[in-house]
Amino acid sequence: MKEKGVSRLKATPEELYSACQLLSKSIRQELGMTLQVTIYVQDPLVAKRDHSLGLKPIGLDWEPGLTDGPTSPRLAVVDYDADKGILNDPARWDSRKWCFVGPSNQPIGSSHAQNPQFHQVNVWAIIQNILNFYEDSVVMGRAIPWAFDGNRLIVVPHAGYAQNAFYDRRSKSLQFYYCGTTKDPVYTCLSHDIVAHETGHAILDGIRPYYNEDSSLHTAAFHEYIADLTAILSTLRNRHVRRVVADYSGGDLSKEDVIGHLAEKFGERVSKEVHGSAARPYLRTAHNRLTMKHIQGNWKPHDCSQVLTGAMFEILTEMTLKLTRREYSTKRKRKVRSRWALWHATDHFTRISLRSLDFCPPVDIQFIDYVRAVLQADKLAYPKDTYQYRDIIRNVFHKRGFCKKSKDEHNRGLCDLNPIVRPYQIQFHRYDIEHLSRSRTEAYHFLNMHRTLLKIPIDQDIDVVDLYDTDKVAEAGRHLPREIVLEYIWHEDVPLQGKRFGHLEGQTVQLLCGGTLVFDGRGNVLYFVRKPGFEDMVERGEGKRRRALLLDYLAQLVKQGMVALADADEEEGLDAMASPVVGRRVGGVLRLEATPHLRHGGFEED
Amino acid sequence: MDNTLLVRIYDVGFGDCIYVRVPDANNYYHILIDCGSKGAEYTLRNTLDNVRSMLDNQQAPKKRLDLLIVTHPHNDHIKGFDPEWFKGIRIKHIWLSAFMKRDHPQAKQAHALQALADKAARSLQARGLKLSASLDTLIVNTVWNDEAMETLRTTLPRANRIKPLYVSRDIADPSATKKRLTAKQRREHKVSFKYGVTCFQDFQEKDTCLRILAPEWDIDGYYLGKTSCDYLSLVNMYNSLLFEDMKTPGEKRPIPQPCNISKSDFRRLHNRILYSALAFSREDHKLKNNTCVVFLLEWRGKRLLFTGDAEWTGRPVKKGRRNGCWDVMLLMDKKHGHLGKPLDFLKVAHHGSVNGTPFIDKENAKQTILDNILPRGRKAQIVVSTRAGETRSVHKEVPYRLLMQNLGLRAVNAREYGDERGILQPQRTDKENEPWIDISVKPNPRWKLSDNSKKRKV
Repeated sequence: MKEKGVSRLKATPEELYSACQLLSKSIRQELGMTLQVTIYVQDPLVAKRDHSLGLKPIGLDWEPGLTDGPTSPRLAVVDYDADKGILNDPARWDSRKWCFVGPSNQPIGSSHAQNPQFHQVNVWAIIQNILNFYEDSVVMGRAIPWAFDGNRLIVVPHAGYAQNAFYDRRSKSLQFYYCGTTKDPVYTCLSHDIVAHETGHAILDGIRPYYNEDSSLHTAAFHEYIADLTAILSTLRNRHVRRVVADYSGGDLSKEDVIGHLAEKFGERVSKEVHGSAARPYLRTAHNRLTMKHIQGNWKPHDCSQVLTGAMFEILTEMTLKLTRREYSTKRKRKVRSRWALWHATDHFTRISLRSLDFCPPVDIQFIDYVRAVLQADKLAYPKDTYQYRDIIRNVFHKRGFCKKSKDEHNRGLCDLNPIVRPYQIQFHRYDIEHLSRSRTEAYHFLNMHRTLLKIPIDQDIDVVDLYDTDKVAEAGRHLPREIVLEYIWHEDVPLQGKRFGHLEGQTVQLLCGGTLVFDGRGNVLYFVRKPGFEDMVERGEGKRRRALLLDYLAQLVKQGMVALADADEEEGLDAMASPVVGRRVGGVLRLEATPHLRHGGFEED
Repeated sequence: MDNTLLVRIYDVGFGDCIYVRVPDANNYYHILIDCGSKGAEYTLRNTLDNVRSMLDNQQAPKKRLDLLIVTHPHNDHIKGFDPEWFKGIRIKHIWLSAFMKRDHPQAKQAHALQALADKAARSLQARGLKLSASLDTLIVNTVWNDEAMETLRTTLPRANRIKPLYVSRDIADPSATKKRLTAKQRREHKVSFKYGVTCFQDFQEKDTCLRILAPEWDIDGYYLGKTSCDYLSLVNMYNSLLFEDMKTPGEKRPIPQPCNISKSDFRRLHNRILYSALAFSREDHKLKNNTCVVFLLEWRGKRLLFTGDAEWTGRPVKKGRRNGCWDVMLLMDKKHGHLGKPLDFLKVAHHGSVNGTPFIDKENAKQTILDNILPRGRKAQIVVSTRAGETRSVHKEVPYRLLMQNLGLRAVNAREYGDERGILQPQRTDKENEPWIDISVKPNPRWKLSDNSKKRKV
């Protein structure tokens, strides 16, 4: 490939890379600017059941700096096994063969699936592919930052022996563990679902870092939801898997059992240990009919997230079904029909489910905020609503109990899903959007000028936590208006008084407040969502409600013994690792962080 | 001779060392419970010197210690067992927890976990990492103290020509399917099975009795939990290459350095990746606490409870589950109700941790347990052997403030310490500014000397 492409043009890959964005995918392939990597496109257990869903090659864009490890500009694979105390040899990048090779200089392929070097390449390729997918103009249309200092996420494919895998911001890493016996090992780094799930956590942490602060059940559950959604979309994005699923289900996703079930092999192992049999051979499933009523009194984020995951999967299922039925009238064959329907529905679904992240508040997200953001993303990307998907979306959200019924006459009986603040209601002083988008300090001046309008208390210091613009495309490559997203936050102190706070009594936590403003390139406000504080004179009612919710949530966490205390400078600690939430004392107040906690399957709870 | 029973709880830092002097007819009966500390060894040496001074002379220059009890094999309970320090002491009986029995048929899986945890902890130590205080404690407690264990299992018994008794509530139960002690052994160790528990009656006074309430003999069944399902995996892991980087004790092996990330990034990653080793240490830590020896001393109408580091979960007991020591003990005690009556003395379990006492602050927990043994009207003497700020349990500080307040209301010897004004707490070793706390227990006035003075034939 390289012989045909780059060398024929007598240009180095680095020289061509600068023009890469102007080239189509096929031309990039023709010029040898991509590389083929073999990965597990699904869970190894699914691959065992159905060989067509096993090891398949995928294409990845080459980037300058790609080297041994694999190491690419945004990722570095470090195969260090802490339990064995060994550092496995890294997969080496062979620029002549234009592929990764193992210790014997053989290109790493499907015949090397047992080698650690294959695992390294597999996990790297899946994460790189997902990152590219998020950054693509079909989805977010911008570079995704990591939440930590630095730009390279460390990936550890064999971190040690445990039934777990997790994203850990403090060590800038994704850690994948293995379990089972030497005869039947279970490597979490081989499960596409698990790798994608953890990558989803890392990406969301980069997009909305304050969601890592455990301020409410919905916020914690939302992290799990996005991680599960990433796993589902990452699988569906693969053309091969999509075809198999479409052919098998005939366009009715409620009949499929490949993409809706997550982490089959790992789930089978855990199920065997907990129940004595593989009663539930998957970790979680999106095929569910759960509503918000079902999880009342359940404070587990994983359980709570399943309602949203189930709802969104139902939307995807309904969309696909609608398109499939619509295509009945055409003369296309059944297979072609269902394949097209699934592709089209997935494309639409991806745009609205992930782009909506730009319309989410910077802190303390509730499911209803996301639901509104999804509708906003849909309105912007598909103003005509040709297939009337919006009714499907509204109905599903309504059915799952995410929102109250509207008092609006036109929508009586349906969900009240209109944004709380209508953009046209905000009348800012005259401002220059180019000026505002230039820097965070300029954005601060804009916010400061409009404190009253944005209901920011005068005594609060505002922190502009993010300012970015996007380049998104709609169907058929049509460019959408540039969006400029401005996020700001402030904190209000909340003392913890009362026995219900147990060992946290006497400490002070902070209510996170703030908002997200989305402008178009001409400075029109496209969307505005805010989380008011209780010190605000106008919206004090909503702020007080938020404060009460925070206190109730904390009391529940304390009651269930889920909060450990740690000091700000504590680099590692049993408490921090053993509790789902750690209260870290920073500057006299307690910051509640979600932690990657010990879930040593067979050892934890019975 | 003084007619009061003396309990002396030493301030050894974070750890336990308790001496009990029981008036028995015209003599004293001397008991030593644990001797360990998280801190320096010289503290323990001073402590043991004091213990020695309390003992009676048997045949000068040797002193007599009637009973040595080791509740469980954590360093803060066994570190002080150096044979040199016990050279001048003649020990009559040694009790060790059933978990410490090497060839215990019903602790095989627990021992497999312990061996793996030990290997993992040594591996971590060998890497010379900088760990937080709580992790350091965990690792130190996980590493099997070979010297102390050898002293307790072999050296001291051999020097005193006795065999240690690996005790459990049901060790002397003659109805057990596989008899744990023969009649001869029961006689030799002065134990019998009465009212659902093993009783120790080496006292001259007939009514003085030491009842063993925990642990159960079936360690794997009651205290191990799901680990038992993964037994093969545990053995497999032990035999595989996991934690093999520890070559010899004290040898530090250099950590390999990857070349695609910076040293500081790798150091941070390495410190956060000690996942499995910590998980094993944590499980092992709980297992040892839950299998610790808990006993009730009944003397002249008074009841004294010594709880070691027993943990409580407040969940219903199920075989095959990781049950708490207190939970199993309370279940087994339902029929005979040894814990259904008020106590006169309580040594608070697990250094005052929230999980060491059946306490209201747990979900579904009932105050009745604490009300039964420490009713508010009839105040008992309560002591906590602890050191604030030394360690933390998983979720709460040690000792746990709310527990201290609760116990303070039930203790006759409650104190209001200078730095925590307005809060009544039971006596704490770390707050007294004395090398030990002495608790005197007088006989119950209702106890009739005439009826109970009948002596056993010695």
